[in-house]
Amino acid sequence: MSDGVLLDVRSLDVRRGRRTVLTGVALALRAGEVAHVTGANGSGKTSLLRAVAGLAPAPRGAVQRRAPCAFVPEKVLLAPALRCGEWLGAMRRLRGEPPVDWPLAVAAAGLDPDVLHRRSAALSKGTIQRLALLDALHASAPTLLLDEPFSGLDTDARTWLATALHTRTTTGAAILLTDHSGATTERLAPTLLLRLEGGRCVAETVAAAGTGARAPSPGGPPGDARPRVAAASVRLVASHADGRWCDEQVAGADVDARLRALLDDGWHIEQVAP
Amino acid sequence: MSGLSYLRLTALRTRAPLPAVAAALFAVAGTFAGGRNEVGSSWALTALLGSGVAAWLTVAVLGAEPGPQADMATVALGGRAGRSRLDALLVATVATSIAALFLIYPLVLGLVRPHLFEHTPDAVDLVAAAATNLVCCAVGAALGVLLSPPRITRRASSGAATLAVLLALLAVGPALGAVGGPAALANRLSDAPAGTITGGEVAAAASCLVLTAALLAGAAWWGRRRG
Repeated sequence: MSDGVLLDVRSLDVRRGRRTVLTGVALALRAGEVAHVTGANGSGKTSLLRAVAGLAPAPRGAVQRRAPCAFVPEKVLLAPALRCGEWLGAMRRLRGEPPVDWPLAVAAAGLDPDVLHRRSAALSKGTIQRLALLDALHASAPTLLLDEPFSGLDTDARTWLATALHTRTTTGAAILLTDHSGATTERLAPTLLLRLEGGRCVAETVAAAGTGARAPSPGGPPGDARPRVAAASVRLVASHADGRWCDEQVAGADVDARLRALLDDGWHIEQVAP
Repeated sequence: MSGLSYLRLTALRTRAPLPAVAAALFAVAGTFAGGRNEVGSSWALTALLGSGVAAWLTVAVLGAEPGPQADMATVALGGRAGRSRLDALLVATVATSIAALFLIYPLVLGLVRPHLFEHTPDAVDLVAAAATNLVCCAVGAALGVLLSPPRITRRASSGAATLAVLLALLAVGPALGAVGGPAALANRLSDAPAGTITGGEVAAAASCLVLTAALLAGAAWWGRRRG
């Protein structure tokens, strides 16, 4: 992983049912990068994500997941009788990770901590989706595979998700997501665009996030651009294992450096909000 | 073990396995309801019933997990390979639990009903009964995995396919000799003299283990193909 590539996809064919929907997909996703998969309905976005996650068969090609992944499907559905807090805890144990203070994390995500004690059948689609995203965001897995993560979320939730994803990229995560809502382009300038057209995947590297300048580079290494969230100042909330808390307002340009400093000192980032 | 606790959580909350558990209790209580039971035949019957109950229980546990929830868990487990390992662990747990129930229940019942068996089972009888019930339940549970989501996603289809394959196994098993799976093993346990383990029993038990491994391998292959 010395080249920083977390996800390496080569000559991948993607099938949906018995039909091959994509051929020859090539993609290299490095730490800190966001790849946005676009395409018309039925172009194979979800099938691509599922193939990359190892959930769908790939008749040809190779997917190298060089680090653990977290996956959130477009339609999150939990067993109706399952209490969400229990599910979040079980997912942590599945990954072999230590428990999280879920009430605190849920509150930081703008949700009522009471949702943790309720059955999934009693929660709205958007709330369950936010909880699933929260699980993925708190996973130590550096590769996030998100299928339409912004759909079904209200404006506040979209802002929360964009900042949370941005925080994850600043700490070395790579994100591959599909999005029809336009929120990815608006709020989370992607480093790489993957356009699915006519059964092919065309990769474009975004030279500078937000500038619109793009250099075609099918399947090649992306540029140096990093996703960023436009914000004058950002509120950072972090907790430390020794019980200390940090709640400060940081200028937008200094957010990355401050986040890195906090993480290097062993802080856990609880919230990054405009 | 965290994978098992995850499956147990979903199963307990949905209560999906309750009918299969009730069937297991009914099967063992019914088998040993009378007195002076023949040792080998009684445990041969529980082994056959166990294979069906284990299949039912496994289908219920795996079917209780909605597809999207299963997908997130599968990726968290590291992909299909991790899921296949969890499936194997589930088979071992289901088989051990049901076999233990079928073995321990009559032994405990025998403490208050001295003539439960026509003769007191000795250590060899117990080993033969335990091994037979364990491997027959393992075959059933592995069959349950093979015919559960994501391979067969409709619950009714899953249940019907499991029942059909089990009935076919029981029907053709005796005709295949020692390699006939649970039916062949149960026949051999039933026919074996008390206090002995025959070569036929060992061969039939080995064939059940091979069948279990083949069913799990088939489930892993089908799961990768199905997506």
